[in-house]
Amino acid sequence: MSNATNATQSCPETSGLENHLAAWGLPTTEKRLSKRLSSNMEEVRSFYDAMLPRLPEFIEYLNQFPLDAIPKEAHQIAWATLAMCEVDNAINKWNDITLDTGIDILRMIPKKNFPDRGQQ
Amino acid sequence: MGKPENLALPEIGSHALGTGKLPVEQYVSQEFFELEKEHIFRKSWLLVGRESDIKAPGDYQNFIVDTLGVSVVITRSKDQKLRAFYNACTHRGARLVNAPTGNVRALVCNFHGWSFNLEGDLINVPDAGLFAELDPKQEHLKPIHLDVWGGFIFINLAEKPEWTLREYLKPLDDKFDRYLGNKDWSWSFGWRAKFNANWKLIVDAQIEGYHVDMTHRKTIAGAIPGSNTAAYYFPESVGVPCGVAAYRPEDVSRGMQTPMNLLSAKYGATSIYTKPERQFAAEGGEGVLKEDHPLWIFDNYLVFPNIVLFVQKGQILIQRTLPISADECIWEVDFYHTERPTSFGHVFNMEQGVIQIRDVLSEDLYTAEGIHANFKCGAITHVNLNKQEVPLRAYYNRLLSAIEQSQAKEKP
Ligand code: FES
Ligand SMILES: [Fe+2]
Repeated sequence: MSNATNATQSCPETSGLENHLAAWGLPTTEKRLSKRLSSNMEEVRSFYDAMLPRLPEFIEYLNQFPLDAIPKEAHQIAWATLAMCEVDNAINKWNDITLDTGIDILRMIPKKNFPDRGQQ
Repeated sequence: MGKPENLALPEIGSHALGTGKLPVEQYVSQEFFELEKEHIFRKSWLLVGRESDIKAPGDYQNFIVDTLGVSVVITRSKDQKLRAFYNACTHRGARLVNAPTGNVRALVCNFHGWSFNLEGDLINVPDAGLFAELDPKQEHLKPIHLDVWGGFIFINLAEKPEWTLREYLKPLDDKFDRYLGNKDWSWSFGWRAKFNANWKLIVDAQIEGYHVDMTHRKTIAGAIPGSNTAAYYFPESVGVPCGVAAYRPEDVSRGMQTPMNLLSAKYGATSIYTKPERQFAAEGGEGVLKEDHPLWIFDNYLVFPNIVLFVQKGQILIQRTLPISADECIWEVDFYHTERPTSFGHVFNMEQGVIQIRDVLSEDLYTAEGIHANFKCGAITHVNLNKQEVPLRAYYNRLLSAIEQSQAKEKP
């Protein structure tokens, strides 16, 4: 893995992807999950198809920085790259926005730490 | 890869614990639930926390056993010792802490201000002269047995536990204690959810491999074929009745490896179902990890009554289920890793792993409420178990024997 402090690659060209990056470049897993749940398959597929060929290049670019030194202008690319994980199953396994053989995914509340049981 | 003869998998299960149907009263009967409260939850060692979450003097954790109404406060004092007490002020019974975790110099009661040090001694009583006779030594917080194993804190509400924690956890021995207790483990992520189902139904779903091909047909089916999960049972054990081992298929192309899975596998090993190009790092593990088998992924163990502990190289996964009532429970899952992501590639890998396992768990959790309703309304009075489901027999047997043994002890 390249972790050089002197980044050599410049920020990848994203023309044509602007709308997708704006729609899916959301900062948290929870926000990206809601984005999937509120999208239709056509929107999800168009995002996936546009992003997939670019992912290796995006990841290699982002990978050259220490995590806290990823340039601000690349944050949206990073978050949209992570949003691809959120739509993977919908595209590749379910051909549907949600999994119809699992509990409502919003019932699973993300914990903050081991003792976290929410308000008691 | 190992030699071909190493590819042999363990026996998928056993009929040794019988072949008959099992009744379902223990999931829906209120009387049975009362027995569980008295003889299981008040007598078993219960996993309540991780030692590293209560690190500094003054750190505390408040652990609640909802169905018993018991709140336990676990403290770390200056002498570095961990102690557990009922979260109950000895003046007139108020709870001393309400937050789930925190750091305090002393436990000060909000009602009238009695304060207790982290060892549980009463150290200050406002206007003590108002009391006619008060011996602070008699007013110590009520202690609860506590022990640590594998870096996890266990408590036992019994006045005098039947077994030490180490006796209880056999056959999980000191090698497990060392592997799981390694200080490099840190909490990575987890979820919780409430279910309208008996707590044991959530546990049941994790201790057999027969469900894998069907339940997970829309996620990981094929990547762990049901036929590559082997059941164990430990009839001699007090606290670890059974478990499951999972192996990858001999044909690594089985299971759907999406472009996303393949790409994320280049940057880390966070998904337990994707054959990683990188392995999780973890110190030790001899006698715990079955690394001499090239296909081995993980073992899980039922830590009676309510924990399913998954052990693999570089990842620990703990599923905990606690009843709220006979018909409701809270389930939690927590993941520990020895590595923190330091690059975006690893973050990406981790995100893929987190989302994959989240979706897999949502499948595991899908059936419990329907089963519970079917038991409760009487549509189903007995269930069928095959040899691969022998852990459920072992669990059932332990449930009954634990209650019987505890009842026998109480008879004069
Ligand atoms: S109940 Fe705690 S000080 Fe009165
Ligand atoms: Fe499962």
